[in-house]
Amino acid sequence: MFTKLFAGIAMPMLLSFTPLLAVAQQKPQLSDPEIASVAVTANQVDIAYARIALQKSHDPDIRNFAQTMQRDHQSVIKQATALVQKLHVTPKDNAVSQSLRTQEAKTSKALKAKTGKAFDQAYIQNEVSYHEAVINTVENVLIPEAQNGELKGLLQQVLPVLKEHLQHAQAIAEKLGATK
Amino acid sequence: MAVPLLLDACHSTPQQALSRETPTDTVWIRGLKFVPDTLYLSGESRVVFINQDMVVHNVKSLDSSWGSPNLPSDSSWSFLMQQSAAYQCTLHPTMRGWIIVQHADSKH
Ligand SMILES: [Cu+2]
Repeated sequence: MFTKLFAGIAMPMLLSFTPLLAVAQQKPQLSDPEIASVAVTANQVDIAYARIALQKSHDPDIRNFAQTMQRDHQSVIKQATALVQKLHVTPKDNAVSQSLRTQEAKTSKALKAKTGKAFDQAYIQNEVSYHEAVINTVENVLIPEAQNGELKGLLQQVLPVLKEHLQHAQAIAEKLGATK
Repeated sequence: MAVPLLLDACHSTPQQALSRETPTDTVWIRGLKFVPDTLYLSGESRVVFINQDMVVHNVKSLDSSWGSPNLPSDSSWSFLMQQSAAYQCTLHPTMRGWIIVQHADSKH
């Protein structure tokens, strides 16, 4: 199914998760300012995908999901921004944030090249994989490495949001026949 | 919204007649769950939904007979529950809950 769906764009789609999967495996040491940057960037990336979906899709389930992604990831960014201001932490750009942005550009380009049902399937499949990768990174790297208790607490609060998004995306993927 | 709020006099149980107040129960929305996910009410009661999450939620009955607007973080909404209902957050459809209204008068 995967091969069939993404025949033309298999490489960019696969590559798009590599940075986060690599992060989870290699467990780089990230400082709190770097963790804050990764957290904000990961949310921005999903908002970018949601914007494309709202421009391109007419499917009510996809549109409802994309609106939730936009709204929820904005809420997380708002909370994270308020916290770093309170803690006088300046998010510090780093290799993980940079690779997230680079891969977002590639995946967005691949998504924009699709239309109709093929777009809906590619978008929701990407959402499933992206949320899996982000959950893995938050659970196994960001939460364990966060030094500040409030930053750790915020990441722990974000986890159930990401997990619900994953279940929501999986249900739509199944409905659209876009499961792996 | 007005119709379900109309009180039906024959719903009153002796206990409610004594207290003359509609009991209030609370459902917390936290961690992307309704807590408790099943709420048992002895007779019709007002239920307050309080959103403690950082994200926006709503509460809508599956049969579309009642529903809240979008509830931002730290806001609440209440509704007089007269009948059992299954409900969900349409923004996060995996979030489901149940209200079970138990009437003392089984003939009703
Ligand atoms: Cu919700």
